Amino acid sequence: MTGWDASPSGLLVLDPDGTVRQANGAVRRWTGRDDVVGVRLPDLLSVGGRIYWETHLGPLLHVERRLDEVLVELRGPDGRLPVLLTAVVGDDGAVHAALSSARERARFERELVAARHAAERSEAQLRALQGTTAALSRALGPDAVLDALLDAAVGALGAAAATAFAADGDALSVHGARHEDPAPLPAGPVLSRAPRADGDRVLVPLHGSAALRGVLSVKPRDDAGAEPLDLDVLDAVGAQAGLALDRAQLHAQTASVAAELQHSLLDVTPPSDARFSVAAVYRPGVEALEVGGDFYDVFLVDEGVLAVVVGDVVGRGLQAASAMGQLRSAVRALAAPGTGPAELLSRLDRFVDQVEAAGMATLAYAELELATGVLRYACAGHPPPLLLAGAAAPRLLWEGRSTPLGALLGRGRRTESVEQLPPGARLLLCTDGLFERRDRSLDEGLELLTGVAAEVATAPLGEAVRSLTSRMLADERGRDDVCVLLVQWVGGVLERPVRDVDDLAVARGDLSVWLRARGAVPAVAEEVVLAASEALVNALQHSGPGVRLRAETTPGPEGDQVVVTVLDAGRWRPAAADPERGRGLQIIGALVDDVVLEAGSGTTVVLRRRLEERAS
Amino acid sequence: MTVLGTDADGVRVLRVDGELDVAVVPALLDRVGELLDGAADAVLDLTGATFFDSSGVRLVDRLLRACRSAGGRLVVAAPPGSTSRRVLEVVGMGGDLLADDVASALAALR
Repeated sequence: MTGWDASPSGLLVLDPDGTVRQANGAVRRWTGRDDVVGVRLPDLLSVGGRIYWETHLGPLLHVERRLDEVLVELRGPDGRLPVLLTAVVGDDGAVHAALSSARERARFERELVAARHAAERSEAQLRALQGTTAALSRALGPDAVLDALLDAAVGALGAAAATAFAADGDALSVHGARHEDPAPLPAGPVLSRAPRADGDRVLVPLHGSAALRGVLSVKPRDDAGAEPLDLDVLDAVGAQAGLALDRAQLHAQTASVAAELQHSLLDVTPPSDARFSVAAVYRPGVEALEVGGDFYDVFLVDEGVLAVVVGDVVGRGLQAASAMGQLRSAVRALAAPGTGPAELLSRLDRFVDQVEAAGMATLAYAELELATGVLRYACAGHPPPLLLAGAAAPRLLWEGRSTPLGALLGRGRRTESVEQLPPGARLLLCTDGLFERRDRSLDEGLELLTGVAAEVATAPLGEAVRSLTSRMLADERGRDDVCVLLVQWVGGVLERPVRDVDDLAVARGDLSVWLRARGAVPAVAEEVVLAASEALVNALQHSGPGVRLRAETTPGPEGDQVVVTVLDAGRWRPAAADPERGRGLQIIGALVDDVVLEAGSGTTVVLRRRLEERAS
Repeated sequence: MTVLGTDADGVRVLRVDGELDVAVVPALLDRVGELLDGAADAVLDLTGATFFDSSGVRLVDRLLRACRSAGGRLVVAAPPGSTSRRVLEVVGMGGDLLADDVASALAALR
């Protein structure tokens, strides 16, 4: 019986009703009793096990004549002992049973559960890591990376508080903190590659590819049930953050190269000429941290022909900025005397075939004859220029339109249009960022632009373009680049018919704009306009139709003079014959420096006045 | 031209806004009697006039005559530095005819 008693398994022989007939040493040991013979097996089991035996196992054994590895619990001296029961009914009706300890198996099962928990937790950590990595890669600029890291530390990574330090060489400086005042600077150099404990905190070095970019100092949560900080996750996040800081720095450098390039390209020095003035505003988009491809240019394409350009290259960043530079140079190179806007666009089509990045760029190009005020213009997929002429309402120039540069459908169909500008007229060219918003239609945007332009139309040129731009951009936060160019044709000579007294107010408006464009201060402009108006009234009342107003400037002994000429077809009667007319001449005489009446086929009144304000 | 009404002292107050030129004055000249509505004293407020030439002078002259023939006076409110004041002074119609604003014009008539 030695083998019987020495078996590591519990061995039993039972009567058919379950009463123990024989039991070996293991059974006696596990149950802690020597009197197992004569006891029924169910009475050796736990309460649950006994019920299980009576209701299931006993009947099953009776029917099937065997049981295989059924888990039951023995009542032992130290509590319940799980065992696996295997039993067969012999030919003699006796039941031969074997019990094997299930402790090992139970531990294995506990380990399985623990492993599942661990897996779940590591999945959560993986998600935290992925979320953190995504947030870090979305962040633009080193500051944004550290902000994202801090948010992740007290968010997905489960820290109670965190402080981030930026590294500049060996020096660390506090970037910011979450849920705490910034922690003190880590003592001593942060040399380790991996996170390490520092008092009650964990220091996570943020290593870039070449240098330490920063340090994250996290404080673990100490509340009950809090998941402990996972150093492996912190290590991985630290490495990601270091690389993100590398990228951010590189990106900032690239962005600044692009910005510098664009700035140098936009540093336009317009030609200086008394016949026109130019004011421009370029507002770089700040939100995307990348320059766009907006540009403008002003140059003389010929003696007496001014070219103005505003363009928009597709895309952002260094590539767009350099494509913009090439396109801008191409415009200057290809615009030649006599070429004209439509032909220029055709040539630019061929150019962008060679410079892919400039393809589908949009462009508004206009040539202004400085002697006559004739404007030739063409738009390649670009918003229409806005004409601000005298007292008239601003008008969008919708002619001369064709497709963006390089578009297949645009070939051979470049068109241009012509517009006669009155002296003092202004032309506004801009890129779509000025008026285009996601929440409104193009027409609504252009309508708004037209309205605002009307309100600032009479302000001095530079003030007008700045005020227009800031009012148009008041509703957005620098999403896009914006380029606005305002050019004014001063005009050499103002000349226009004055049909009747009802036309007088408009004629006065035109003369006022012309005078202001020549640099007359409001008081001088007002006096000259009043004197001219008196002369025009005289002419209209005494000669009938055919009255013309002409204004020009000439150099005088004391600076530039404005010379206003009123021509009519009739003959003036002597002033004495009409006291009303005498008053008109009296007013004229008081307001201008010189009045000359010339009689010929008609009568000509010539008024001269210094442009600068007279010292009074 | 806006008729602001007749005040407690029987002074008629008239106001001009915008441009007062040959295109609008002739029609006003025909309405002088109606504008004064029998009042002998009147104030013409040119503070809101954006343009004023010899046509305006003509209107002032006509109103002045009408007030005088009724035994009253006209005072014109034309701010210092305004074109209307400048023009009226140029044609010799400054002095007592002019006041800086409506309040001083009314005070001058009392």
